[in-house]
Amino acid sequence: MNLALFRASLRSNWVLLLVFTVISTAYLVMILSMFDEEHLKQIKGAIEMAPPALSAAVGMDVIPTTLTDFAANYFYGFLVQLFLIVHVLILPARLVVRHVDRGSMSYLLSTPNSRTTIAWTQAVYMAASLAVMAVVMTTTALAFSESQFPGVMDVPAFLSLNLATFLVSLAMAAVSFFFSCIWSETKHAVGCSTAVLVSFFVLTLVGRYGHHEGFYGVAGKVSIFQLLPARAIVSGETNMLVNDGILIVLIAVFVVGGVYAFSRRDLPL
Amino acid sequence: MISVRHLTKLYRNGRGVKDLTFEVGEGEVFGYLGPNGAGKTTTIRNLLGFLRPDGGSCSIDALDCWREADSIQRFLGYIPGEIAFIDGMTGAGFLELLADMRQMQDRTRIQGLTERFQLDASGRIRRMSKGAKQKLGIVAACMHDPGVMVFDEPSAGLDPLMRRIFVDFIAEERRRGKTILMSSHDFDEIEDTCDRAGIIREGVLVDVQDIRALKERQRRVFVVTVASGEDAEYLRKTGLELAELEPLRFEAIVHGNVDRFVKALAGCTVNNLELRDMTLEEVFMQYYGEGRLP
Repeated sequence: MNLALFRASLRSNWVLLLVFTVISTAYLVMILSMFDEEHLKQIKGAIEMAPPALSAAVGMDVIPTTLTDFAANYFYGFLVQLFLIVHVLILPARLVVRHVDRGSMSYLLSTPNSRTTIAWTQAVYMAASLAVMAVVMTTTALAFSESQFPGVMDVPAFLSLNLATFLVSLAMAAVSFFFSCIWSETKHAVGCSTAVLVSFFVLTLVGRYGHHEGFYGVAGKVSIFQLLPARAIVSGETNMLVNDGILIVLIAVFVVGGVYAFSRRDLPL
Repeated sequence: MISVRHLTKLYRNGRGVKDLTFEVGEGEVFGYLGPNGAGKTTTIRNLLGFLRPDGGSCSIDALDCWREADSIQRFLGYIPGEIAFIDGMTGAGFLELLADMRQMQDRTRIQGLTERFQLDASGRIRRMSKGAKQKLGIVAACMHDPGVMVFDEPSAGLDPLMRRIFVDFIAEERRRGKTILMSSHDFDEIEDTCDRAGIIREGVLVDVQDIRALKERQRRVFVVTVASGEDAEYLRKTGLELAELEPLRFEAIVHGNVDRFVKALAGCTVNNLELRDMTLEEVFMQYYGEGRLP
């Protein structure tokens, strides 16, 4: 870890961090502000009078009625995944492969720092910036919900949800970081990361389409978002220790693999 | 100080270096000559530890260039062949970053070099001219007063005046006992700065020569224009190696010492005398022509 490089990475990438933090936080706050418990209960009541098969067919059998579940359903289950994918496609590429592609890596390596130190510093910056984003999002959302709907938010569930979201974002970033370490051209690295991460997203959509059965169900299960079952986290149906554990292992494997590959490879500088 | 032993590194397209062996002694300035694509940069990438050798090894001050690259960087200055900096930074910010990454306390040398090369480092790198970027690269490479320097075409993009300042700088560093390896495809530059030169062609080191010996064997071509037919007749009889380009205008080929040529010219009226520049290719052809090399 080299502090001077960390600061330089912050200087070149703070705008990216700011933009994604502001967009995600603003979206989350906007969704929270739309929560209207009475209204949701009325809808739910109306739906319960309809035949269950009908409401299931139009996806209305799962109307959330608590604030936490509402946020899980409308933000953490879908939108945030899109924001995170875009963010982690850009960030690791800017931190590693871009320096190799442009040639500026030769200057970073012409200082008495090993390749491992350089790659590790960039990984730390990546994790730190995603953590900052998660903390800002979580605290802003909690502060907002406490001011608008005092005592309504299930804080432990919400924190657990945000921790899982952060770990998923870091795991995806780790995959993208790995590709950034093994390729010499930005377009190859971003191409591979896009293929993998967008596949996860599509698989999740496909899985949802089939109501978790048969082929569609299998499709949904191989996606990384399987480890972020937003509503199940809120309802306490899943053991998040296991999910979070798997994510941490994935993060470790891809980051360590990336740093190792970067330290052993030929660099076209 | 710099030691390359049986270094082999081949790319998939067949380019690279094959079984390269040479030494650069402490305090020596070594020129590394060759046309583009001959393997100069590949050698340098190996010295910097950017490439892992397929075979053989190289070391600087007894440290292995692949395994101990970071330790070598403490006393190595490097100018890459392709200049690329971190964008969105000013020149001064970039130098500051490198100084921090090198944990340098003393910044006076940065100031000194910046003044010497008349670099205005305050502006954004992206807006700098090619020459200014090259100067920035020189300052970045030498700011920590390294004992060993590896320069890949260091004077590319510099104007003649700056090139002169750079040549003086190399001479001064040499007097201070620095070991320098610099690649170039400019024969004059190597001639002005180096003690010895290695010539590489298609990945194979074809020769290592003392610069003085190289100069002595160098073939020069003069274009002489004489005043009259009598002068032309006189010139033909001198036994110089001549080719008549047009009436009264000759191309004279002189090997090594120019003394005999000058004395021969003294016997006739010379209207004009030009020295034709030899391209590196011609210098090479001279080698191959002498039949000394494969």
